[in-house]
Amino acid sequence: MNLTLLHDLAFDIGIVIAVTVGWLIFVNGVLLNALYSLQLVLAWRALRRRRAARTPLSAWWRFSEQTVPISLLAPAYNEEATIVDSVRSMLALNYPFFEVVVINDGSRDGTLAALIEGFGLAPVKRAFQEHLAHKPIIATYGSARFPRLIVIDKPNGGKADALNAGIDVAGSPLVCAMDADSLLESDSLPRAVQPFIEDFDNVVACGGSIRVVNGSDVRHGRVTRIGMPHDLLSLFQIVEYLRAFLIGRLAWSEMGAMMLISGAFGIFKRQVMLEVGGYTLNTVGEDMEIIVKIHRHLAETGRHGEMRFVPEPVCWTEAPRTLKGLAGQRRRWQRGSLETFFRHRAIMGRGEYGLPGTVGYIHVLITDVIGPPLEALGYIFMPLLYVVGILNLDFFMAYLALTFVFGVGISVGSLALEEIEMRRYPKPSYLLVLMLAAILENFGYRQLNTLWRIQGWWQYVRGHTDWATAARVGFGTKPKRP
Amino acid sequence: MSGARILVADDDEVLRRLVTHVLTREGYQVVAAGNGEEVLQHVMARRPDAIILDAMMPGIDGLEVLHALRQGETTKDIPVIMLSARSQERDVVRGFDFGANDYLGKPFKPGELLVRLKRLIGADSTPDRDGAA
Amino acid sequence: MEGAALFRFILQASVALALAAIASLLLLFVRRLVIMRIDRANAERRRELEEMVYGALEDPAALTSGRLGARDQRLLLAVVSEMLRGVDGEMRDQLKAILALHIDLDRLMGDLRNAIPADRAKIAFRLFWSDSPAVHDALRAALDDSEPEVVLAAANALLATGQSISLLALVPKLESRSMLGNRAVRDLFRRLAPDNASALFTFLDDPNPAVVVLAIDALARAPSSPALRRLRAAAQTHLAVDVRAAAIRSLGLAQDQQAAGVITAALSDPAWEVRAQAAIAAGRIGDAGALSQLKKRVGDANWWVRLRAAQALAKLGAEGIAALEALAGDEQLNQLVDFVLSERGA
Repeated sequence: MNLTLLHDLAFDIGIVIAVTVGWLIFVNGVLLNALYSLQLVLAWRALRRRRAARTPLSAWWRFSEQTVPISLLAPAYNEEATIVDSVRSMLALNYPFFEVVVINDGSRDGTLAALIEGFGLAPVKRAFQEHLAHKPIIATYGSARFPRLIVIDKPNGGKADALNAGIDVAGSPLVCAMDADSLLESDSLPRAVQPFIEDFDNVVACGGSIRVVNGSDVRHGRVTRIGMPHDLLSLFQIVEYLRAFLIGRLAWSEMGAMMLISGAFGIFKRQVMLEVGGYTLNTVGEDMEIIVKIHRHLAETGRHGEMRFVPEPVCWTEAPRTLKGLAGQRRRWQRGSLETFFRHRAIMGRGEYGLPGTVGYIHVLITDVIGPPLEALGYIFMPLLYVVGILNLDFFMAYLALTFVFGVGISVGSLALEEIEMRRYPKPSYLLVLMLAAILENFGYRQLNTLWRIQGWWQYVRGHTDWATAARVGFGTKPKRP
Repeated sequence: MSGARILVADDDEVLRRLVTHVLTREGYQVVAAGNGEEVLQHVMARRPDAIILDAMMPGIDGLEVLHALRQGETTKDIPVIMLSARSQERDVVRGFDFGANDYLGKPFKPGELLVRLKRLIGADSTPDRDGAA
Repeated sequence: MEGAALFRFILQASVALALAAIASLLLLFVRRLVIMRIDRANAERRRELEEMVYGALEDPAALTSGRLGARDQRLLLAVVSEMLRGVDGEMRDQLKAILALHIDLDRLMGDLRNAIPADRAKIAFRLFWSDSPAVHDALRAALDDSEPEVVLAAANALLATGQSISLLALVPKLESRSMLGNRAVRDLFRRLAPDNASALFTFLDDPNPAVVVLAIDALARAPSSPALRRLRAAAQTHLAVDVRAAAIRSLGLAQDQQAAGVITAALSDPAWEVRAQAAIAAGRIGDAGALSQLKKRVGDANWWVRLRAAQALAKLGAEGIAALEALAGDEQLNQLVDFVLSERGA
């Protein structure tokens, strides 16, 4: 008798827990989708305003003859085959005053030799102060023929280490952190520097849209024809990047809560970089970590600083074409997000850290931290609850709609925005291809992504320590996250 | 009719076609280039007898091309006429400073361009006019 | 149950959003297809017309074919007007003759009034070659157009035909369409300056700072001593920051030695925009008297002023360089100073 009561009680508790978890998953889905919808609206507003302000008022009055000098920082690790073309295309950028600092991060191949040969480099002396932590610089090279080029040789230390060395050597008030294999648009610098020109005192960093180059033609480090890849994996990633930048990043910037500027291209005030001590060494996601670190630093020193985002494409990047490569990349991104999230968790929800601490942090929490496990749980749990009869059909259908249908609307909506405002895809048929990809993506690709992110979570939990050093060999195919 | 080979460089397609028309009508052989890189490629492939060069082109601009040409051992003697929408005194002076042999503003007078070109490439390579209208 | 309505709403909203997005993308796809079709057909016809024009240049007798259709006339105007921008002399007359023969100017002037805004601007933009008084009148009428782009295109076309335009009459139109910050308007002012000197002086007293700024910029292109006197006064006393900055900038560009005192004083202006321009101007006129003030400005609160002051010092000869090098020891400033010195060396 007692036993059955106990049994019933346990059963009731079990049902209560099951229903609670079901609701949790459901509410998370509603929140996420509400957030995406909000982003879509904000992005649209920003894009429309951009069009209206095509002829900016007084900016050219104050700075018509002047632009801010920029140092491009291009860390290179084992890029022998492409480095000369990449650097050539950087040197040919449209901008009146910039220098290119290539940091050879202890490559094991002939990267340095290729540079020396390709640009007629010779050792030069360059005075600079060591402000930041990085491996010692072995030698600095320059070229009489290419006065804008500086090449630094240093032992392997990873991307953050290489960038820190570059920041130390850079001679301009602005530095542009990028990957040596980023394919820059020739107008990327004037576009991305615009926010600094308009408001130099307040803007501390600026990023731009990154696009997937798979399927397009590249010559001499430039995209010469925009095309479509033939593999689904690349197509999915094109949609992903479009959505992430055109909607996600733009909306964050609108809200004043930029949490990430892609490592493939981001312009920073050098002074601010020095103040925060440069990139944190031995991080997986140094591009996200630096942004949160800067927000935190500004708030703690009581200063105002803005991070901006320009929706125009600034550079193109090669996305992984194999499941294995993609899985590795996504696990790393996930670890990077978690690492930054927990390292700076002290600022979460604290008003004195402004919007990044509140809106930004909560966004990361629901999309990157609890999002993937909840989503995975939902795939298993919700059908189960429905089958055993705990959830009714309406609830289950609403869940399915949130998980599979709403996302289609957001993705296709971002494609429509791109077509209305940017129109960068030369053939109409590309729109249909991308739309199909945006629909298909929800059935399989997204679930795989969730799986990889959970694996990333697992790796993060299992060992903070062992992967940090192991993963640090190269960065040629690294972040460029959307 | 083996006229002199002239390289015409302008990023504006309409103008490139116009200059090409003016020159071919006089029996010159014309190679056209749309940007600075193309100019350098053409010059490396085969030395033209003269270059008509637009000052403002995207990427490597006309003045930079001129500078590069004047540095090269085999290219430093190629006659170059700058053809530019910027025709203020300082622009013209700058063009000559960079090593231009002549400087013409846009809009240009075709007759004047031809006379100046002929004077530059000398009598021996004056094109054969029989084949032209 | 109790949440049934909510669940259904979520389901319906999701499906509606997805379908709406797909439908709009399909519409955009169709729109793009249509645009591409039209563009391709136009481009092809344009090439044919271009061939015809070159044929006619070779052999004027080939010019006798009859009138072209409306679309062909527009395309021909586009082709030939672009050629007319590049070429002068005899060929220009030939090209104008081709246009005269094939283009129905009356219809074109009608379109200039009645077509959609983008087309009106294009037509105005492409009529710069005409000698016909009727066309000039039509362009003048277009200065009253409701679309700013059309007004600008018409003004530029009139200028190119050698017609004079009264800035006094034009400015209120530009002002009411809030176009004064437009770069093209600045260029227009500059081009109109020679014919409108007295109007520019009038504009120096305009209540709208944007107008004053444009007038200052235009006056400084061909500085006269009365103009410089007015600029010096404006630099010292005008209430608007942009006006003071523009006046200082123009004095520097005009290399006005008499303005040295005004420029040095402006280095302590409360507005950083003015201080930055004053530093640039001091460097331009090479005024050694500004040295001590410039040294102070290298420590300005604003980054731009610091940069411009350091750059100005670098232009003031050995004494300026020495001052800069002395500042290089400062932890806060050494990066800036290094940069300016290396810039000078380059």
